[in-house]
Amino acid sequence: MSTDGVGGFFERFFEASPLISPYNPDGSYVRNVNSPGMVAYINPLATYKLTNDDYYTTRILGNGYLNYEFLPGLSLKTNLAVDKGGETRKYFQSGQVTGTQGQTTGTSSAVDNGSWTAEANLVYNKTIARDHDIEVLAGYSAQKFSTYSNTLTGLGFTSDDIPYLNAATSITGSSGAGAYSLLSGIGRINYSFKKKYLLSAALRRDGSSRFGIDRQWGNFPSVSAGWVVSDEKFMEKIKPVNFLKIRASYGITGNNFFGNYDPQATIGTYYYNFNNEITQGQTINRLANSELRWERNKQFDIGLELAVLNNRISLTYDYYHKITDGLIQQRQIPVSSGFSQIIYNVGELKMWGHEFTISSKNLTGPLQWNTSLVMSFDRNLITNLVSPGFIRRNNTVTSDYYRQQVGHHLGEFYGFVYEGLYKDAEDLANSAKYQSTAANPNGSSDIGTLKMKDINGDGVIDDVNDRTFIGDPTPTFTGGLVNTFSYRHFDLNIDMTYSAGGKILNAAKWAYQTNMDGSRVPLAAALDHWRSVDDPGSGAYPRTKTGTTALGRSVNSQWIEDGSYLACKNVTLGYSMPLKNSMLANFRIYVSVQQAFVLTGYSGMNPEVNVGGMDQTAGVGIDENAYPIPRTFSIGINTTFK
Amino acid sequence: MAAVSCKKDFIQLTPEDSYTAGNFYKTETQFQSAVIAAYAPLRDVLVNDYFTSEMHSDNTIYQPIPGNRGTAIVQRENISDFTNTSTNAYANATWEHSYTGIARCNIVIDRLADASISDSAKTVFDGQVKFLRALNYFKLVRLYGGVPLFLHEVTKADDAFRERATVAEVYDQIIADATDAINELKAPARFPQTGEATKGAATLLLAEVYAVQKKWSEAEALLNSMATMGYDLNADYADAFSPANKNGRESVFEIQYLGGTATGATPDVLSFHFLPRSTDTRLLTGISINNTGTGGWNTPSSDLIQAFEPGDKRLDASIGIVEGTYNASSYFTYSAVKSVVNYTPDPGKTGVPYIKKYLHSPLPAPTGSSDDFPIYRYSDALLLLAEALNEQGKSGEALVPLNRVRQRAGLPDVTTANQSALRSIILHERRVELAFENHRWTDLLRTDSALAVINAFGKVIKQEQPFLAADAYVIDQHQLLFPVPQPEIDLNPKMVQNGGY
Repeated sequence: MSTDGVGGFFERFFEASPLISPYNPDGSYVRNVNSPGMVAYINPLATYKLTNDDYYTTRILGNGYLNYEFLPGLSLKTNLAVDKGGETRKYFQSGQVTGTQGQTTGTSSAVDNGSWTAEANLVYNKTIARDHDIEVLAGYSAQKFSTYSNTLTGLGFTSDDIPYLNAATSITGSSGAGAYSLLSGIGRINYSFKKKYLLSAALRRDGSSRFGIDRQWGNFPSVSAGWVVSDEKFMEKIKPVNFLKIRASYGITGNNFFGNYDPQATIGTYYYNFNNEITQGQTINRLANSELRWERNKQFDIGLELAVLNNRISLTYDYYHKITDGLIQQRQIPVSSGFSQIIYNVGELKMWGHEFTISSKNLTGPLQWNTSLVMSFDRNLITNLVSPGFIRRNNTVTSDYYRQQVGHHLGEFYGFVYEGLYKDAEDLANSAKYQSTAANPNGSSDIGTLKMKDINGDGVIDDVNDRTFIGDPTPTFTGGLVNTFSYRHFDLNIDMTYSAGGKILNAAKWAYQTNMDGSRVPLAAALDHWRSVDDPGSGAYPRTKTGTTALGRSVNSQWIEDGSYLACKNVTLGYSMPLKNSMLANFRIYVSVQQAFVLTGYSGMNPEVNVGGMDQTAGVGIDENAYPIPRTFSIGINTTFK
Repeated sequence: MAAVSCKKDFIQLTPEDSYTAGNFYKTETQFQSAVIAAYAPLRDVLVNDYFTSEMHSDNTIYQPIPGNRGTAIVQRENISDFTNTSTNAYANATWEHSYTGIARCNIVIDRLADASISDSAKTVFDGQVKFLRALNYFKLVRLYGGVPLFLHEVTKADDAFRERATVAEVYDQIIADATDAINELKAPARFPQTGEATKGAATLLLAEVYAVQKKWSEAEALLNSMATMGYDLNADYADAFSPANKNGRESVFEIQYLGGTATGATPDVLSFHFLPRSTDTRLLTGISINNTGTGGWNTPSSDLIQAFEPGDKRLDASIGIVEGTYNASSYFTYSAVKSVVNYTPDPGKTGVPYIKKYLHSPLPAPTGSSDDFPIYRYSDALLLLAEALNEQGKSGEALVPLNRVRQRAGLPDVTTANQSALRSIILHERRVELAFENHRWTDLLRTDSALAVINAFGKVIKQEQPFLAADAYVIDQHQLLFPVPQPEIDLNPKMVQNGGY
């Protein structure tokens, strides 16, 4: 069981009833820790204690190179790198907490990974007439990654005493393998005049085994130019400026980050057992896409670096503009084709932004104080997508949190628009109601239930026509602030990050913590729900009448919150011992606290949240039972021996 | 490195641990395997079709659970209540899995054309998948109306976007496929049968298609041809469903299951889906099973129980009563098993009817049983023959197959030769004989009785079961078809929704 997310420990902690002890009087674990009437989830404490999941990991990296200079300025540089890794997993879960009660389960699995990269570069360096530096490079590289894995699962343990498959009476297993390879050729020229004017141009050509057989190769050119303005004569008069450089670049890069054989139609196994005899069937289990090509990022950058006042203040500014075309995603297709998706170059995405970094040396005396402030303004827009012009998260109404759509930003939230609760009979009579029909004019709405906006104005709230975009997770700006102080032997470092203007969809809150069906333990705030026209409670939580609560499980704008925050990620105070005639070069003792504080209006546990992880196309700013970042205090020493 | 990099195929990799479409579909064994894979989605259709074809009728209802309004509960209830919409994942699943089966048939049909395997093998493979394709389209056309006709392997994204064909076009294709299957397949060589599709199965399918189209003489001829194929009724009604009698003489086509935990096992979970939700179903299943997350569905309605004539042995064989008490979670604690015949509850107890005919205790494992599920039985063929004869005015002849079914049930012969009276009698006989076999909704559609029967049933059942919403079972013409799944409409601009949704 994972810590985060749907079905993870963090969700289960909230669902466990505070009224039920996790232990029986005899000290054994209670299996279900739900209050009467609630869904019977399994005791998370017992699950944690009675599950053993260990990974044994080994990794060896090796690197060898040979450089040879044929002629002055002309050399061959070769490199061979090897990365070998292995991971063995030992898993055992007592039948007291298995989904099917009593089905004690053990797993033993192993993965063996290996990869090698071989590259050879021919490099020619020449300085002509003292001021012209030229470097020319031609290179070639080959890379191969391969993996082998197997898994054995044991069932039918007669007790929990021996947590090895030896004690299982039924063992099933499988093994598999995978590989990918990449070939690259590169040519590059760097030119500089007096180290003041810098020019560079390169062309890469990459061939990846992952792409459709007709589209394996991609060409990726790039150019860049730099000008160190502060080296010019006319700058000598402008004394305060110590350094000024302007640079610009344009380049295309490729992306092949997806499964090894995803564009190939593989054959899957499906059983159909005639007359009690195990019979294996096999047929195509996914659609091929022989035309899948490289996803390309076409990026333009322009920036400057400036240092003034004896280098006490330095400023870096960058503007970038990136167009990603041929974006690789699973494209949903009608299931009447027999398949639900195909890996596809689905569309085009634009990202652009400004980033400022200001570093200053505020105090330079015995007390030193340096500050570094980073501020980024990042924007994005989906400019093109294959028919029908949008990609849903999934086909539900309850967890279809966001929709990628042309003309919108990445991960904009999608759902009903919350208009409060139906206040009284008049409000109910005059408003559109959820799933109302001629035979049941109030549908599943009533006084005191959730009222949503009738977007298409047909007088009925329904799942298809009354949902829309309800919030944008993209922050207005983000960044960090680092302050470092030192005084004599003491040093102090304070590291903060911030984000402003982005929205968070607090999915965990409505779906798990304020469920009004009575199937899960609610937050205390939900006690203040609607009870009568005269006692409508806080107005956020509807009544609990049977048959009216299902709508509360769907995404609506009520649960969109401001995700702005300022987080103090780390404070460290250190003291370096003065050392004399010691065998130590230095000795520093420090105390630190991570996640010291978070200033935010967000009501969930962690505003720095994202269900999709680093992948912006897999959802942004969604809190689905995310595990909070722990505050960690630590004490340590750093030392170096002479 | 030089040796490797010179090889042009360094970046042409295919999986080592599975075949790909390019190196499969070569040998007879591989085609056999692809045919087997085309059968597998029948199970996925079935696990949703008891909602779309049995609970979506007057035969069964469900166990209320007001404390859990998750979509997995609400959407399934909605199908039973006739309030399902185009976003109903479980109604939509019937569409999806039927088409998965069709796609696997299309792959075999297309690839057989160029295959270098024996003609006799080609014939058998083609016949089986044509039957399966016809069976899937027959399900789809009756539930959804004219659906997109996919008849070839989909090999690229553009192929996946098709518009709906007309109902007539779909039926023409079903007739063509079923006819091919009849010509290509043989009658069962022995009993128990292999479980594969046969000439008999294709014959009964085509006969039912003609019954829908009211081509009664064609249906009659086909059904008569089954008389020489070796089929017969078991002496006892309950024997038709016993795992010991898999693919026996009464079976024309059934979905195969195998319980247990071995790799490749395909356990039948329906028997405990069909029981009241309980933390322990041991009293009925023989082993401890918690079906609170899966059970509570397909509860026989009082209307169905009352539809069994006095003395009908099928009532006791089909339905049982489990007695007990509900707790605050709406879970049922079983205390006793009783016969449904003349049942009156013990004081302080509630008796809940459950489907007994698929329950053979003890189950081999908590994951499910080895019970097969009938799609076509010989008694279905006999009752359809009676109907075909009666509709042609040969009411006297119709009594013979009808009474054969009734005699086994321990019921007296029907003697009336009044065509209209006999029409109702045959429909009623189908209802009790084929109860819980997912024929009820399509039989109501075929006999144009769905609107009247469901609306009348709704009035009574809502009195009896106050948990049902006011709009449950209130249906008009548009609800005679299910809505096309909303994701299909959203994704495919060519797809048109059924009227009223």
